[in-house]
Amino acid sequence: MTRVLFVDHAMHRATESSGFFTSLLETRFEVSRLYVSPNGRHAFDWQFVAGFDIVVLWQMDYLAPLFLARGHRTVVVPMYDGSAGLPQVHWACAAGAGFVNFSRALHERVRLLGLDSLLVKYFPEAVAEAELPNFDGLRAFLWQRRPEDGITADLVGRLLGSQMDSLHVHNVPDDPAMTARFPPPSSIGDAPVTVSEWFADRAGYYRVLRDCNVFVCPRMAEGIGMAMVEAMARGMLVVANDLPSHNEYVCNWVNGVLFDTAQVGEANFGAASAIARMGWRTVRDGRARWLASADRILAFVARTARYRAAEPKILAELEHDLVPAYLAGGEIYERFLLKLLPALATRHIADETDIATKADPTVRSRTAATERQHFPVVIVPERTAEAASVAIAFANGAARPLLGNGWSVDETFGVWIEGVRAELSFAASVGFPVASLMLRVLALAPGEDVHQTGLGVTVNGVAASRAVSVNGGGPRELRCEIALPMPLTSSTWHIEFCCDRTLNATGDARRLSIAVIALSVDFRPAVTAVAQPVTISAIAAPVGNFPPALQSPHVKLAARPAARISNTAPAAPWRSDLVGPRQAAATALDRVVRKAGSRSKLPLAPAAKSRAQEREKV
Amino acid sequence: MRVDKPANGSNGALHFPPDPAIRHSASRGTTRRMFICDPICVLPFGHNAPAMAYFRSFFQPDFDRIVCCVGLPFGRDAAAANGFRQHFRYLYNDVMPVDGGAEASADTNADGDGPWPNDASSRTATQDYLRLIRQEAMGRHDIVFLPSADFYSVHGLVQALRQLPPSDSPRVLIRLIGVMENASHVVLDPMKHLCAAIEAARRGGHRILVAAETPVYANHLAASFDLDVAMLPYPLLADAMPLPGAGPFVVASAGSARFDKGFLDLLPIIREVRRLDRGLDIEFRIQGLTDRHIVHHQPYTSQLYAMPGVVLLPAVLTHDEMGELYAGCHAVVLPYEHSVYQMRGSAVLMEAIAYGRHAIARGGLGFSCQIAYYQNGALCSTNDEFAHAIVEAARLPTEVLQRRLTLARTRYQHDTASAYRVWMEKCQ
Repeated sequence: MTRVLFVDHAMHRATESSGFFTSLLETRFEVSRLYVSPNGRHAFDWQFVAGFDIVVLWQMDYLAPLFLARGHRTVVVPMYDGSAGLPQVHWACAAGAGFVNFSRALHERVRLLGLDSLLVKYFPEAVAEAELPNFDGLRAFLWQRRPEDGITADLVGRLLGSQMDSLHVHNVPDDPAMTARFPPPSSIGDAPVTVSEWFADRAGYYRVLRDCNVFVCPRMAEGIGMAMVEAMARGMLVVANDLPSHNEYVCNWVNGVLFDTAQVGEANFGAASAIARMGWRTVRDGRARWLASADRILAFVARTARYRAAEPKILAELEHDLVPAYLAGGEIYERFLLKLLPALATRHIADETDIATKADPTVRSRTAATERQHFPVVIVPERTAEAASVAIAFANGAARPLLGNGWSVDETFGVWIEGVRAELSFAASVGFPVASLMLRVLALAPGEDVHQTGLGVTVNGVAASRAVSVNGGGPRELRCEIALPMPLTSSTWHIEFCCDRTLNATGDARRLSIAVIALSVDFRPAVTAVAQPVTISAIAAPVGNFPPALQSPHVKLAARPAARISNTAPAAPWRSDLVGPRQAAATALDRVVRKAGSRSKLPLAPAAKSRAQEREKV
Repeated sequence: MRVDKPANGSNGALHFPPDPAIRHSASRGTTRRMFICDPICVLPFGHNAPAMAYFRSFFQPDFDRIVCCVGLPFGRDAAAANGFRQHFRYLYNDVMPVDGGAEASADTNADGDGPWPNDASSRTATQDYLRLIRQEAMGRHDIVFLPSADFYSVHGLVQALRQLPPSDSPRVLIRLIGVMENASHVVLDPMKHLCAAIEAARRGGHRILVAAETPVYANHLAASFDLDVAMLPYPLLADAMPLPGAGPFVVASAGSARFDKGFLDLLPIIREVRRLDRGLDIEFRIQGLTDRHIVHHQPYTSQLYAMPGVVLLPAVLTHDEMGELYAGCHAVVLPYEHSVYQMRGSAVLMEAIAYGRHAIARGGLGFSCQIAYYQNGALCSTNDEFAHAIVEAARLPTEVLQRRLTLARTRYQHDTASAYRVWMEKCQ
């Protein structure tokens, strides 16, 4: 029988909140538990660990690199409340693990990073209908567990107001110092408030709960929210903060109520009974689905692949520094992982055959298909540990596969932004976490006398904007440096351009802002990142200074390397005349004007048009 | 009747040698051949691939040989499994990116010598059709059928015909569905251009028939472009399946959760259904958002995920999974955007009719009049009306619903078969 080592948070030894999952594992595997306190250094007995076939990390996802690097088949069960705020690199370093996610939001995050994730939803057994509480009044229960986050007796009072008949506060904060700071009142309005502290046993807790019919979830977010789903199963009205996993079980005012701690006011709970009943039915029906998902979960765990062990040096570093770095948190943890990421990521990516044997082919092909479907791959021609660049030409539709909304039809010299906003997306395998980007845009305004005075650029949601100047006098290079708030290991890039004005040229119904002729993106790793605010700089740099990559622009587009399709665009129209910036600009514009003469849809500024007409006369 | 099945081991490459026997036979005019061409059929899932197979089966009795030509990215194995020929280079990676879809010519001459665009995509499409015509030695007895025509396919085919003497050129049947015929990179009014090109080819002696998928679209094309256009909905070929017996009344929202298909209306509709259906007797099975959109709609998707009685499905389903979805539901819900679907048809509706499923759709769409005429569903204006229509359908006895849907299917099938027969006769 397959032997599973179940590594769990020491606190769960008492709460047994992971018991339902270990019980499930025990139906197919031989399971041993190992409780770990996240507050101390872990000295794992690796000889002991080697006796197991699979390691399951319950909530202790930060330990995944440690086990993976030793070549253990590793399944991670992360929890939204503890892990949602961790940086991308936290997940990237756990590549190769199988993720069982109880939170849909976390599942999507992990899945979109290219990791193997199974989404499941737990439901306990619902009580019999005869045991459901009556709703002749609203009797609320709150475990005042994190009063410092704002979920207090006072908040319950503001939410339920005069509709509340009583409130029981279980006043045992996670941080004992909060007990004195947030003492429950003796009453809220006319509603008496009773208080309890630690119950002698679980039955004591249930006794108090049985007298209540409204359950206020005690924390801002949850991993699963066992207390919440148990309350739903008991037919109580669940009231919870609007974050996962609360909002993945509670559909607001359908089977529970969601609130925002910043905007709590008295709501009408007239439908409390019906909503609570719907919550109970949710659990009743969900239970059947949870039980039906057992085989999928067990199969997912069973097929977890083994990866090659990392080099001894990496192992030693992980063993020595991973936990202290995690405990130090924030930047220290991120920097530590970033340092190891190349070794860990390379190892995992190199083991394609293992990934192929491990993955559910249906799920993986789905992920791959949808990913590729939306993000054409741009090949990075050269890259070093310090920099990687891509150059994209827009002439003759060469960049068309990358273009999203906002672009007009293809032109021989580039593509106009129709309106003030346009977007493009692509995937580029950079090879290191990207901390900053330098974008160089070669752009043209629709008329010689038309100036764009503002350009906004957004890269993966990080925005930059500053006054710039582009006019129809010729191509201008716009430089835009963007420092990302955190290094991105994602290989997909979404860039948006926003201009401040458009021109409606004579005889052309389109409103155009700028034409993009070429785009170059330099990706920079964390070590060279400039921790400065986002800036856009370098207005109207002469064309002659444009990076070589764009002076001979080309873009290679491929869905994947094996199917690489070359899509070489011709030399930029301005290049052959690079005598000087001014001449080059004039030549480029002349070409645009000539095109305009044969294709009426190209907007012409009056000055440009007259010059074209003069040329025709000559 | 012969249906092309690529030989085992075929690499799906571009070069298919002409079949001498076929050429000989064709030249005698004794072999009736149809070439069903859909260059945007590039994915083994979705609607295009089953549509090709359906049309092949539909026309099977009338032809000696039917060849289904799809886009190169379709995949060799999938093409072999379906008996399709990978032929066309894919030209729409900008609007519908697919694996292996990015292929464009390095030719820089984007200017045409006449009124027709001559950009790289146009030339590619023309070359692909000329290659097909020459490889197969097509003659006047052959038919090229575009079941869901796209811009470059129509443009390329018409340009290819211009290079052939009308007396030797194949007959062409173009079915417009109001989707990809407007997807041009270089023409600002693609439909106007296509209609002009078709009319010019007709004046030159080529035999081209045009049809639209919906009555509304046919009216529009006839009125706007003075085009002789028939109305040809989707032929029904999937076997009708009895409605599911025990369990909840299942409503399916099929097709990747697109906003123009009303994905963002589903939550308020289901919320109202839940208010009316306290016993959770109605279940919704909904295809989810694609990766590109899901990151921006997490709260909405989470609320759908939290909604009792909702099963969120992946954005991409295989053909078999789609079949299971239709077979396992009682009704489909189509709260499509009026602005996008005011003339377009719905593949989901066609599948619903084929399987014998109730369709609850927004009124005023291209296909709404079909639901009104065949009485196989309900038309709604508001989200609340959708909810009430769903609840009303769920409360109908299954036998009543089944009978109603069977009748609708029979009438639809009869009308559709007649329409195609007339069209084919006109084509002779």
